[in-house]
Amino acid sequence: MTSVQTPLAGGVPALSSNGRTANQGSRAMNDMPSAQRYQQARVMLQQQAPVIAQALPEQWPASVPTLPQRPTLDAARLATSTLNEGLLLIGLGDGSILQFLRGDANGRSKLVHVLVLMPEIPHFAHLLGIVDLPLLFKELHLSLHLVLNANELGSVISRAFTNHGQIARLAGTRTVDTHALAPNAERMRDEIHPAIGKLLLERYDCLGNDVYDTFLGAKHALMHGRKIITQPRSSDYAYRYAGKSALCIASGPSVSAHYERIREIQHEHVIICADSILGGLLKNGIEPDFVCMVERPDVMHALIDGHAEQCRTVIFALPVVHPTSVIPFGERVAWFWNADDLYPWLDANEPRLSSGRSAGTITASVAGLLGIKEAWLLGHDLAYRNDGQSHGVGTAPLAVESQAEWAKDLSRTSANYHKRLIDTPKNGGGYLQTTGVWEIFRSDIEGIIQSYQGRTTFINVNAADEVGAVIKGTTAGGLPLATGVALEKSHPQRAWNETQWETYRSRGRQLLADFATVQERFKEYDLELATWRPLSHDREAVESMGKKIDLGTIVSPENAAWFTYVFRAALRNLMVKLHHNTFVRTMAERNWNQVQIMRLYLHSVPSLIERLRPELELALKEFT
Amino acid sequence: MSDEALDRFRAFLATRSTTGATERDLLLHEMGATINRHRLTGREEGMHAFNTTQLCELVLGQRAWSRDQPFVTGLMLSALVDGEFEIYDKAKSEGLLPTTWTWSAWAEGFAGEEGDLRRLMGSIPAVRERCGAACLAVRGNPAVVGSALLGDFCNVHMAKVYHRLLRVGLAGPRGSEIADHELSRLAGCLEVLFAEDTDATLAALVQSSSIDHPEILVAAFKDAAGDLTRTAIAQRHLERNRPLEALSLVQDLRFLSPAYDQAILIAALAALECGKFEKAEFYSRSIANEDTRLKIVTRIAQGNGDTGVELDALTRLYERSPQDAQIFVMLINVLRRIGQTALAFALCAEAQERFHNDPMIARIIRPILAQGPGGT
Repeated sequence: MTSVQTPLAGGVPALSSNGRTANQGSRAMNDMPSAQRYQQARVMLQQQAPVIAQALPEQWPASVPTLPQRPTLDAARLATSTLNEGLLLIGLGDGSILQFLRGDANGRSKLVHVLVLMPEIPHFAHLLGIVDLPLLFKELHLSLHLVLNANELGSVISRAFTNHGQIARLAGTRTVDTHALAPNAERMRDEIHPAIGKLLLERYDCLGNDVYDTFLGAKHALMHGRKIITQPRSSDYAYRYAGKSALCIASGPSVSAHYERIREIQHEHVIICADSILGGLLKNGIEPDFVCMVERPDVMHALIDGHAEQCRTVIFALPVVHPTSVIPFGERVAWFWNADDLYPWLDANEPRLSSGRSAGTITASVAGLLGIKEAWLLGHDLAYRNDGQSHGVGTAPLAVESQAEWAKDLSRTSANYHKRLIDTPKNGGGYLQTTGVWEIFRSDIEGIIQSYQGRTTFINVNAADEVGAVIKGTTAGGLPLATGVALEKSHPQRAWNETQWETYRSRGRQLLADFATVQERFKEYDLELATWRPLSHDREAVESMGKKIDLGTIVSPENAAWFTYVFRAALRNLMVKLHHNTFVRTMAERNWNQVQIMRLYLHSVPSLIERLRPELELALKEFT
Repeated sequence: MSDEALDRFRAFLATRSTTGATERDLLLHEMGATINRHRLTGREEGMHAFNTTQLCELVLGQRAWSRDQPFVTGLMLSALVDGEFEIYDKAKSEGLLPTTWTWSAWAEGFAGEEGDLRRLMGSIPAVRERCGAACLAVRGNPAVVGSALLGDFCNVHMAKVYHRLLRVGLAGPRGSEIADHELSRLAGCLEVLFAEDTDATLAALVQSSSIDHPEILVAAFKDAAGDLTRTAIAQRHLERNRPLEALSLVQDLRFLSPAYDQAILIAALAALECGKFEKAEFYSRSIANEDTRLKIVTRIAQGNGDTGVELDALTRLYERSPQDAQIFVMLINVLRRIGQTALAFALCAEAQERFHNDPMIARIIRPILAQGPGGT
């Protein structure tokens, strides 16, 4: 058995059969006594999913209360009534739903995520004694996730639908929640059901739906020209302050209460701040070592205007930010290689890191990158203060004003998740009002903190002060006392050569030719597809056309990543549409839906290229 | 300028329950993406395909739009096509219907014939409004739907309306005639068929049609016909005394098929008709409806001459449905056949009041009661 083990947040693993390579001894298990089979399954789980194994009893429970079969059969029928691609089973029940699914061709073709609820562990244990687990994993595309309590759901859901491809696939996933469960598991299912709905909904938000926004990032990266090659990057800073301490400063309402203390100890720690609070810190006599910026609009330079020249601060920016935001810093620029798909195109050898989606979240990331041992989080409120304040005193007016303008449309029922008002747990108990977008930032920073677990301890000053939103993974603590021992600070130089620039330059110059190639080829394929009618092409033909229109195979190989990145919003959104359209009963419908989506794609992308070409030409001036 | 009526309409839209949270967000995500592409390319980008849920969210989110904004009026029309009449009704009650929609007056109380409706529709120049008018007219008058009206909408752009009218028509008095005609027509308009659930549509057409051999027409649709259609065809074979053909279509249907319950019943009945009692017994085990299952078991037992099983099944049926005259008579007959005259007498005595309005039962009961418990 070589099932894939996926570590989840909090050390809870998911057992997955994505590889579908069950062991060859499975047949022998058929004749095995249940107790022995159970022990073998436990051993397997101990290797593959220790947390699930740990929850299991020592001995096989020979009997468990029986559960009604009819609701489970009805649920299985509904689950397999269409050709949709995935199932999310909330609760395992007595396992008979898996038995139903494995016996059905439609069931076997689906990716099945099962949330095994803690109260049904006895049923799960019993099941392990009566089924051949490796065989089950071989026959079903199965992922088991143990849900110990509602707090873990966020990690479980985000691991189940991790990347863009899987999130798009969520549109083709049916939630199964009517099969029979043991009474206490059913109670838990009822309790966690709304939270699961909310979490699934947040996953969609992780899909960009705007091609232009994505293009802007790629364009800005090009506008930086050779600086992308010549200026230091995240890898140049890796472990530069290993074992040291840092203050990660965001612009939440709580930040201004700490200015004085920060000023006293600023030379003993690495000071990393968000762009919108740079001016406030400088005004209060604090000179950060790094200011971080992630957002791409041109207007962002207003956050640092007039400040860059007054300090020695280095800007840690994503290459997607606009040049006007980094130029004022002169050579004091460091590029942060984000996890986005653009970065392998810029330089595939540079390690990618998660920055999160805000200038606040990236401060934690930079601390982790620097090898910081203890990082104090300041101003990471991620919620409104009780008096309605969104930012601390000293925050750049642009940030405060744009937040106020943006907040006019906030409501608890907003269709746009970003603009939804939500209650979030407050440090010290109770709740604070936050927005969907801050909730996303909170998830991001929690993910970042999790990724540096064991290396960097994040101390949330707000947790000690009992203000701001709870950030999981942090410990509560006040700012350290001054020691009088200054930290020696310096910045690296980047070693580079002209060949690197020439290689990068030639890739950039090829982009316009690739634009033309795509338009030409898409026109051909569009003409071909225009002749297609329902029932006239089988699955193989449809899939083959799908491969032909893959942008990554049409453009020059060195630019495949760029095109995949820039047009991913167009593709992913159409994939959402396509997956949604898999809730059909027949393959003929599925094929036809795919043809329609391909047509839309073939029309859309050349039009997008027409729209983007002039801007790309301008951006490539640096490359001529 | 504030429009209070439009604000009230928006408030109404906000209170309407939508589909599940993830489904709603998926639709919103897709809608946002479509609008974004449209902004960049200037192309339609599939915006014409927004459904009522998406249009509701769009109207809710765009507070600057006036009542004449095309998406606002588009929502009202979409609601008519999707059968969500409460949206239209609310818009009307708030006085939001465009004054140019003079068709709404005659469409709402339309009582004429199909030809009249088509003539009136011809006077509406805007295609979308014509679609709304047709759906509104058939709302209270399903009999007006016929193949000529359906023909007006049998194209890719109006396929959604076609399917709506088809569903109304099949459920109406001309269902059979419509089904016969549309089964043939759709074979030449596959794009229209594929605008909605092909299997469910074909199954509904087969069920409503009077065609003796629908499988001949359905062959043109290849794998667009799924389990539902296959089962509907099997049922037609069974109805027309072709049990072998019926059995061949349903005997290997997958257990989790949505048509399984119906298919297994057809399989059991078909096997019974063919005299394949062992198979019939096998299929009958999976029949979900207990009454139906017991009736099949009774018939199998009768065919097999297995009186014990027959008596057992009839007894259980009688316990479940003591008012069912047919079961009562069958039970009395089998009891008398096996010499249980005292029991037959007791049952008749107990049942005579229950069936006192049923002359047929009275004719059966009377001599049994006259003979007494000993049957002599």
